[in-house]
Amino acid sequence: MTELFHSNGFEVVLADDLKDLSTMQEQVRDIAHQLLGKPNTQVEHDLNYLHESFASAKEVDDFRLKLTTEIAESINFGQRIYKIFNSYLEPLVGVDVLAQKTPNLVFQPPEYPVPTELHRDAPANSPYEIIVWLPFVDCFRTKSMYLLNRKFSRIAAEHIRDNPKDRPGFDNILLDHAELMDVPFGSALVFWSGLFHGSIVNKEKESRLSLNTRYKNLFTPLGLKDPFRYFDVLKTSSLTKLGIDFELKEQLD
Amino acid sequence: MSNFLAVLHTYSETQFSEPGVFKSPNIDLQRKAIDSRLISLRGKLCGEIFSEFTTEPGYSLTTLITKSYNLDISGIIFFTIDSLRKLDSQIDLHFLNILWQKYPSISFLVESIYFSNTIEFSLVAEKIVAINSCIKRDRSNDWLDFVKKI
Repeated sequence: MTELFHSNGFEVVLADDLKDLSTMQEQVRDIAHQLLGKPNTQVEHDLNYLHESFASAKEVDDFRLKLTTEIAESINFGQRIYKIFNSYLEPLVGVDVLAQKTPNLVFQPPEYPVPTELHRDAPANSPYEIIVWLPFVDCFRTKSMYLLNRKFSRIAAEHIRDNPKDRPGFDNILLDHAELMDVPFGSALVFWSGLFHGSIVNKEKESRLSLNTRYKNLFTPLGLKDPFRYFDVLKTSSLTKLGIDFELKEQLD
Repeated sequence: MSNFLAVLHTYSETQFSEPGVFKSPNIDLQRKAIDSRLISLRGKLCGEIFSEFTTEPGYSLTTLITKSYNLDISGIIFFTIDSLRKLDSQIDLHFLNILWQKYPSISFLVESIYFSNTIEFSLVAEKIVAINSCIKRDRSNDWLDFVKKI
């Protein structure tokens, strides 16, 4: 399992708890439909065709912001996602865990003109961080996202460092080696913060609704993103609790 | 209506090291955020303090805050926990504890942190202990030497 993650920097993994993931999918659909005033039908169909409710990109943006706020307030994503994919995440991150406070929700209807720009999280985020990219619908081809694996992310980063003005050269690396990820509902793409990634215009007939959220070990080196601002403590081991309690008393007494 | 003390943060030109964000929140924006918080707390402002980035919180805030000790105050609203950073970037937990002994509630708006009972304070203090230990370690030469070796 972690062999593949170590060599590629990413892996598509199945949920341990598909039942809870399906419950979460329904909750997201329910909130989305409540905002839109639409009746529920079959959950995958409802989410795949959410775009039918919008006439412009601005309407899409407004909806996404409202939906992000609503679901962040009503669903504890950080904790639930960590539990749903626990058998994969815990060996990577550990038992002393920081979870991103608010997940990022991405809604990409067909032909929506603003895909996610190519970037990598680290730096500035910590290189000891993982991203869980969780689709609420089957994601494939242009409906999904792309990434450069660990080897080609390193090559691309070195190319930019050594040839800062050669954007075409960088684009060629991307065109030759970026992989569009097939991530069916029931699974998640887990990838390292140092990988270049992004998305292109969705040319499929269905919408993509996905979220991404980040985890890191409480004690791994920090990036520039302030942990007080961006992360909550998700859990700590009994031993860590003892150690922190000891230090706390030392510092406050 | 309850009385609250607000602590606004004076950022340096280069201090707001937020990836992708190039402007620090100015005082007007900070006041708007504080006002919004006051509405949700059904409180009113009884004093405003400016923390300086060039000094440690013990120096910049203690004197000013102690001036308010004789007032009936329900809590302090910090715009950001950055106001409690020492020059080595660690959060001044000792000073936060002094404030906690005096005031019934403390909020940090940017970080969405709020506590008004011992359990809530403990959770925040535990996180500060852990993060402070990382900050201290990440900045130490011993750690850098160790990382180079592996």
